[in-house]
Amino acid sequence: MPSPTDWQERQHALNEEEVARYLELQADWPALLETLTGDLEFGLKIVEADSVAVLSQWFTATDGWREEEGRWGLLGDNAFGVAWEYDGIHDVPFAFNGLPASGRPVTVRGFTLLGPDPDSGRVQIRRYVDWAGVFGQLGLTLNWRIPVPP
Amino acid sequence: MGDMMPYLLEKGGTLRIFEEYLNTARPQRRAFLEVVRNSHRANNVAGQLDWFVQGPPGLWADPRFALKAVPPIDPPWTGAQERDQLIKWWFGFQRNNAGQWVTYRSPLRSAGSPPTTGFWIAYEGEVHRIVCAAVRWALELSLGLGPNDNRPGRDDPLPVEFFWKCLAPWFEAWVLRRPTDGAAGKGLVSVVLVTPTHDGANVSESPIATSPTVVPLGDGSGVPSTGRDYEVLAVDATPGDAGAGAAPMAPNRKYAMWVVTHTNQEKSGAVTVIDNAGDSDIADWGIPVLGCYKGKGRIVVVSPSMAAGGIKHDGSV
Repeated sequence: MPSPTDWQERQHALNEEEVARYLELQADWPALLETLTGDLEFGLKIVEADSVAVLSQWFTATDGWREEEGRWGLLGDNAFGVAWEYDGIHDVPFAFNGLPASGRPVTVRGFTLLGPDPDSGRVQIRRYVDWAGVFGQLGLTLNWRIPVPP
Repeated sequence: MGDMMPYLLEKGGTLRIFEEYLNTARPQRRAFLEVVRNSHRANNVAGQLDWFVQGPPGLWADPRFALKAVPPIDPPWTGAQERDQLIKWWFGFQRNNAGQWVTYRSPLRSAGSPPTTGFWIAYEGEVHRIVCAAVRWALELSLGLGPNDNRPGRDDPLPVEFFWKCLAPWFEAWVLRRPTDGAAGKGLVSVVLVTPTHDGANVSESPIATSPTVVPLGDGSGVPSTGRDYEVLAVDATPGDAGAGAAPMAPNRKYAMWVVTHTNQEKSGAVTVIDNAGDSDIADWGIPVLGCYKGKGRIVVVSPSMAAGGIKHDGSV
């Protein structure tokens, strides 16, 4: 599934002013890092917006997104990270890889890292999502037969 | 059955031998049905396994089980060893010091993982009871009997055949019946054992054999082999399609299992599957792709060798 290009409309973490602020800073990591140093909450909102805009395509929020208490903030001298969880329900038909809506509750866990692209200095976002946990909650199983050359 | 499975569907030597001993004349088949029924009704493991431990008379003494004595199975190999291996890996039991069958669950693969039956991956269930019930119903169908019908059964029992299909999220058996001659009441009963994956269950990306034997090169899974009766159907054939020493015999085979697919299944190069945590812009991410296969090459029709899970053209072992 393509990622949402209308992420600004799909999330509620950032208000219009904050969206404009992020759009201005996303090409300038040092400037965003300076902003985050003085306003850690802004980093949280960016990560929330990045998560919810995508996850809400598949899972309607129940308790929604939250950061893990005490497990977020500046990392080293050049990154910002957030451990988070998202509670939703798999009720969007055919959105998640074509699956019919199962109606099953899902808790998605992940860790998101903000940092610079080493070449351009543009802000890049990396997400480590517990996909195996998501698949398991949906009842999907893994094919444990590895195709190998004869 | 139980060790090598390079294809996704298999009969192989063990199921073929089992078929032979099951497809007896009415008196023998009817007698064995009673053994199976008793096991089906039993409420203890020994009783439930009894039908399989006994087997149809003579089954486990058949010397042809020795044909399986190729690595990783060390010779000599006997029917009794084959039986015990199946009870352990398929049904999930092993003998204790007193010789009693006790539950065998695969060693935990990771902390907190649930136990699994025998060598099945991510599955726990009463496989021995599923198989027993399926064999019972197949025998009853072949004899024209209902579940609690104590009559002798039809004079000319229908043949029963077996196949093993892997993979599925859980273990189940299908019992299928179809007429082969409606007017004469003849027919065929097919049992398809549909199973989860199991330890060492790699599968070949190609149905085309490249090895003279099914013995793997050390990783525990079988490979398609050019053993006797391996055959590539000569549709748009090019020289060398048929396995070494395999004369084309397709139309004349009494028995065959033909798989129809591309010559190769390859991971699609269009999809990145090795990094699901790459850097990207905000909200620019999605569902990871674990594997996406692309059929490559022409479509072939292949009958595997018996060692690779197929069947010989005359049904022999």
